[in-house]
Amino acid sequence: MSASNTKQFKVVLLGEGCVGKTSLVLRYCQNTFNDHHLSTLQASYQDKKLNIGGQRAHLSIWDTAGQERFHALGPIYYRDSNGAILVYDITDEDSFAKVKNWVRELRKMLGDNIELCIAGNKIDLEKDRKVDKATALQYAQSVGAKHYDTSAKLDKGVSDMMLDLTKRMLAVAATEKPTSNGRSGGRPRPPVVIVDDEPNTNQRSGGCC
Amino acid sequence: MDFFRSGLSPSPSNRRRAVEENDNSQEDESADNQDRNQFSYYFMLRTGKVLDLNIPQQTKNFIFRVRGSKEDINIRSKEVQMFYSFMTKKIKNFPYFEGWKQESIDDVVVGMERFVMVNIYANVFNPPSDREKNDAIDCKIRSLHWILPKHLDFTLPSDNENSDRQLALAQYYLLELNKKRSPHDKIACIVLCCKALHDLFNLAHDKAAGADELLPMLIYTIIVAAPPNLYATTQYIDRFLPPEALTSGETGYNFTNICCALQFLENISPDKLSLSPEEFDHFMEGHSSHLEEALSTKFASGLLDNINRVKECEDKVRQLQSYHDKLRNNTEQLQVDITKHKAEVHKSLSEMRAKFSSLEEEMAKLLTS
Repeated sequence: MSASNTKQFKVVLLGEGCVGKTSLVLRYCQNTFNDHHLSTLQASYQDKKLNIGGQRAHLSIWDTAGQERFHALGPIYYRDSNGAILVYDITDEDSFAKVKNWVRELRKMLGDNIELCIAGNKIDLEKDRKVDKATALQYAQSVGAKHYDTSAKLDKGVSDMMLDLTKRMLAVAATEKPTSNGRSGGRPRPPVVIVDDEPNTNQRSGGCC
Repeated sequence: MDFFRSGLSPSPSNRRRAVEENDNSQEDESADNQDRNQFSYYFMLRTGKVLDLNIPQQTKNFIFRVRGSKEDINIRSKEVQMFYSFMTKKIKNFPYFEGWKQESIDDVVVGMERFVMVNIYANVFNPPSDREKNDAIDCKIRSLHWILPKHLDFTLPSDNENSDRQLALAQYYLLELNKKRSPHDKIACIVLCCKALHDLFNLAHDKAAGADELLPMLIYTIIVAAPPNLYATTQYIDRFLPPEALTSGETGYNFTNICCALQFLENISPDKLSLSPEEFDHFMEGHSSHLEEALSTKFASGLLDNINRVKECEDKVRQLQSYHDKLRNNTEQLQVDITKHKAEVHKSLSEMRAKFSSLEEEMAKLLTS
């Protein structure tokens, strides 16, 4: 149970295989790139605690399998997430097309309840750029997402992007504050609210035996 | 205080019923005892000194009520979750726990949740409404035994004792799932399984494993281990673990991975394994991909080389043998020929000798005359 003023956010990382999702999250959470000593870390799940202007946020960053064969599993991963980072490789046009697919799907499944960031990764390979920057920016704007140029290798743009995403999620959480205790958007199925149902249980005790 | 043991531990008749209802519960006895001990430790002993008699009484009543309930499983799940919330709040407000560390109180809460679940396990695990789907998925997983790492586009570190051990460990945790009763223990097995796979990946790679790597390995492990009741297990965990344990943290992430793997296996199709429909059907009909794979490996090709070499040698030996036979025949023939010649020579010699002596005689006659 977190302190009441810490907001819990779930962020999913989406993107084709080999676009550098894992590297991005490791750069952000561990500030390393391709570090051999890191191999004992589980990169698929990372926690990050942030304090923005006195507001505490706890990010759980979920990596997803990006291969085409696992595409249909997306909804299980991004269920209940507050934010999504869509990663593409600027040297690979297909990976950008994939991002468009994800965005369409996310908007269809979660509507506007999710904050999106699009990351054009590997800007250290600018000379091999295949995805036009202006097009990408324009696209991001058209779907209500923020676009960032990132490089996990050179540590560029990664923390800016995460900071911005967290701010936006905090802003959303502030507007829907009454929903729950520290979590915005709870798990829908069991509507467990901590209520004192003592009379109810007393009734139970009376019912049996 | 003692009444938890006497009043709530499953009586022999309950036990028998549990065995009938669930094939897997015979082995659960020790796990069950362990659960009970943990409960005693966390819940009974710690609260014992300042016992609020309502807590044991209400817990007992609740357990019997769920056992007797004929309600839909989702309604029972909701009731259990409500009971958790109610009890948690009660434990937290208990004067005895004042000044305790948050983690210790959380332990007490977990102890309470485990106690409830262990005692109603047989009544709520794999309920009739889940059975059809559960069995179908079990069958499906078993029918996919031919899938190899290459079909899922990953490679296992080869010829490595450690990697075999890690893979075996991951399988062990999956199979262990069925022996555990409380959702907390079951989810712990899932976390350990994912961790073992993570370690397996690290044996062969220098980088940290992401979901791109772990999910295919998890799917493969499920196929190899084929743990029974995996669908029922995920449903059980989803229904009876307190929701905050699943929505946050690594536990929730690993649970999601298992759900993803199951969904993938349920909806598997040839294109998801980079196979043509014909190839897929070929394997589904029981043709062993392992044999075909084995024949195409380096090891097998080395073996084939050796077999071929032996065959060549055999051919050569056979050839030599035939040469040898021929040689012997020729020798025999030669011997026969020699004796024949010898006889002929002797014969002609004696003829010549006879002729010579007759000639001598004629010469002598001529000389005398």
